[in-house]
Amino acid sequence: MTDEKNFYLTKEGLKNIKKEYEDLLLIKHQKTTGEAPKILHSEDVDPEYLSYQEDLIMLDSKMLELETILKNAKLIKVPPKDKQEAIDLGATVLVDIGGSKDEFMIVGTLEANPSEGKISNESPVGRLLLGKKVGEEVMVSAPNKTICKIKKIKYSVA
Amino acid sequence: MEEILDFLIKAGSLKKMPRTGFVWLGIKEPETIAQHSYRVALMNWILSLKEKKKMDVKKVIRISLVHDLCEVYAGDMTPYWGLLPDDPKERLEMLKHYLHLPKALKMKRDRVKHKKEKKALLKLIEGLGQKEKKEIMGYWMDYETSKSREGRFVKQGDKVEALLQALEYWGSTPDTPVMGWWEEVGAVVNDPVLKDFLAKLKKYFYGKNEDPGEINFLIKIGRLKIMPRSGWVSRGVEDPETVVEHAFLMALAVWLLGAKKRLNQEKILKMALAYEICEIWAGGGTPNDKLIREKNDVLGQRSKIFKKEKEKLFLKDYKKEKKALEELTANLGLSLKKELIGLWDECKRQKTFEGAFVNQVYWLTTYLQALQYYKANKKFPIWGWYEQVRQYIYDPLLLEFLKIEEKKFLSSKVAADHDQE
Repeated sequence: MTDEKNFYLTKEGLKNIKKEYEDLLLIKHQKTTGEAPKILHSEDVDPEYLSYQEDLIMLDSKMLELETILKNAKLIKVPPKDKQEAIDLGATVLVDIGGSKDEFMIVGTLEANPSEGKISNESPVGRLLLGKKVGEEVMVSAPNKTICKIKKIKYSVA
Repeated sequence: MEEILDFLIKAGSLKKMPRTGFVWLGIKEPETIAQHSYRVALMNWILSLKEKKKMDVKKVIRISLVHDLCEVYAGDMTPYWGLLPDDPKERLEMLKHYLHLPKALKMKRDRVKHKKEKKALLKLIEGLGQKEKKEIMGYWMDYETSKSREGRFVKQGDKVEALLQALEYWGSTPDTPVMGWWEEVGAVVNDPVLKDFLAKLKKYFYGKNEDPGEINFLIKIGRLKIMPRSGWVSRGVEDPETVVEHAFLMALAVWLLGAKKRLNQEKILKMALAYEICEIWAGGGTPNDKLIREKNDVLGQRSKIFKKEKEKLFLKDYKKEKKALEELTANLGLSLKKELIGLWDECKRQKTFEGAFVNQVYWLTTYLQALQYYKANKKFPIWGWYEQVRQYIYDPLLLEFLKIEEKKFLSSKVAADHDQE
């Protein structure tokens, strides 16, 4: 389900993915060590068998997805002090957009949830902000001439 | 992908097309074809799970979504087309009963209707790629000819949903047109699961309601057919899109765009159908609207929102919607209840690739509607949306689609800006 690319994750994000994988391993173990439904029930294929098979396929596919992520995971680390002045993954950024303040954290696509204030580094705003420093400006809405001015950058990713 | 956008815009016209039968019967602001199609898809999904022999749910949902698409160009041809008298009283009397016609005449009329509708569907899908065209036409033909078990099930489920809607309009009041629908389902429904559901409907509306189960759930979903999306209401849109109408278009978008991704196709379709049902109690609107309301700010303007505050509001919103879902699904079976809540949760929190994808399509289709409102009325506050989607959408395929949307609806200057991005 996933392409081979790097997945940038915070420490917490990586922990969650590992936990999810371990949970699925346990579920698979429970499913495969118990008695499986029989394939034939009278003349028809037993629906329970189909459902069981489908669950296993889904489980395997999800586990494969998580394995790919874990294999290609890159941990988001706090950059060294001299590089903390620029926006990178893991930065929480306070900006002034068209006269009002907004704040969000730049994360990898796996952890993005803008409603929670976590925007992806691959979103147009995320891409515009990467590498910028306090005091710099980017145009977030060209037709409306809305300028986004960077006010503060902080790193708190452990 | 321009062809997918054009298709979605045309299919979106079903949000404004009332169902002919209910218009003739004098229902004020009757349901639209999009509203009906949405509940047919949701109802058929949940009832198909009861079949003894497992059904292909993805197929059931897809057939349900396409079954009335031809009406974009063919209009809603009911079995009474061309036969109704001009006199309103005589017409009403005729509509109170199912139309029994001699077999040969019925077959002849069916052929004419099928030909007209097929031509209309071909016109609607002509711009799409070969694969999409083949799929949509294949599913529609399956519905028309009842070729597969799923096609037969949807064909019958379509009539059952119409009966449920009629019962919602007229209740158990005797001598109302609802009897015509009862006669129709009596003539066409033979699937044991649907027959069992009809028996429950009868008990629910005419007698003792012993097992509300999915009936209660579907009636509540029926309320979403007419619930306008609060984001449009607060922006002063006249005759705004309803929650269910949006979900219908979102499901089509998820289907066509999702097919280009390596995602679980059945899951994303189900997610699109399930994502907004919590609005029945959670109040509707987008998370941004909720933030704006909380901040008591001017619509379309940005608020001073700190990350911690966003997290807090998200959690509050999340809990409210989850509670709404738990109440809404209380009478459903445990596994279905768990599945519906699980799908919503994955999408809301963008926990999985499927969830993140559907969540972004939610924004894309909401934005598409916003762009259409802006096209009709230049005072519509579009630029807040323009900025917002630039934070909310990050999937490369969907970003490409976003550009196409904006090139179509915004000025050529904006299109030129895109080329520089």
